[in-house]
Amino acid sequence: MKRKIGWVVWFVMIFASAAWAMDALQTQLSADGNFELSLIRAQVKGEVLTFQVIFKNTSSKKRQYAFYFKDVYYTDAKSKKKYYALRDTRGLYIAGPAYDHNEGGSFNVWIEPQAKAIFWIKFPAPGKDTKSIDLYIPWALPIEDVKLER
Amino acid sequence: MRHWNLHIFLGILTGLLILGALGTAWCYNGPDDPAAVKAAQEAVNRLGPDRGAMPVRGEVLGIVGLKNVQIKGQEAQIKGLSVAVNKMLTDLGAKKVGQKIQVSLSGDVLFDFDKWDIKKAAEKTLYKLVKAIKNLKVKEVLIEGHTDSKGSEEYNLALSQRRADSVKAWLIEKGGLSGTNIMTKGYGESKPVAPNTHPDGSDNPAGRAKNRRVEIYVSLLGE
Repeated sequence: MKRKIGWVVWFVMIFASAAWAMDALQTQLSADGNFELSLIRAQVKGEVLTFQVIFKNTSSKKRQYAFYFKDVYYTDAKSKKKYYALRDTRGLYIAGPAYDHNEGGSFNVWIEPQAKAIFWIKFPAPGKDTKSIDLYIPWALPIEDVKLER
Repeated sequence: MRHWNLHIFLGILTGLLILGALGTAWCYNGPDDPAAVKAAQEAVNRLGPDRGAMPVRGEVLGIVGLKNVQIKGQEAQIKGLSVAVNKMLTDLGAKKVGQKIQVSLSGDVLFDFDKWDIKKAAEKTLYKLVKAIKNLKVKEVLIEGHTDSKGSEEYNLALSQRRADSVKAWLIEKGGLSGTNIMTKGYGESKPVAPNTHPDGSDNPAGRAKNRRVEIYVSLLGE
């Protein structure tokens, strides 16, 4: 378990360092108001849509943010379709940093006050005519009308 | 001695390499990791032409132009309306959402558990809503029903639709509104405004209570 946590911390640091500097496409609050979620990437490449989100603990206490990757989805209002994240041949969601394998993988980080953690996840892309989508991450308010970069 | 130091060093190095290999075996090194990109493309290919898309029940309404609404805090303040009407909207907790006025009513106030008949105690609130609507130049009213996540998705969808229909029936029969521009939609548990469970998976009654609700969107005629 320590090894897993070590790798999670390592990957968070690597990707965070490059991503911190990026501008947020949109910012939303967690349902409890203790976190700020900044969407920094909503990019379609080929038939795959990639999201990157920075979680910032805006409270004064160290807090945990945890959810299963299977509970993240987006909706395309234009086609009235809902999409779940992509899974590899092992049944694991193509997302990270992955805390464990349960239910196809989960995000589970403790974040210090005012500190940040980054999350990424891949989905099947919507149809070519779709310009924007709504992204749903557990424990957070919906991130709506996200313009897609193609 | 030097010989042993070299062995220890090589041993540690080998261990680290093995740990690294094991670590990368069960997760990807970020969204642009070639392994992740390749796995994603293969996953899409396996999904077929519809890419795993599931239908969303519900529809998105067009935005109605509404030039005479201003935001003051979260309350809807409408120019040209009497103080009394604005007060009614404030009392109802009305907010401006996009280009519409939104009133969110607690499901627990409107209905008994698992029922869709309007409770007597809720009528005072609904009369206030009717009075406000009658004083507005309304283009259309959309009534949305929402539930918490207890029960099956299908059951909640049906319950939310019945509850939205029940509010519409009340507004027409008791409130005296015309039904021609009132629409209803049940969303079941699909649009929560709060978590139904805590991060550890335990029940969140307060969150579920917030999700049991009826939302009423009033679109006004543009100027």
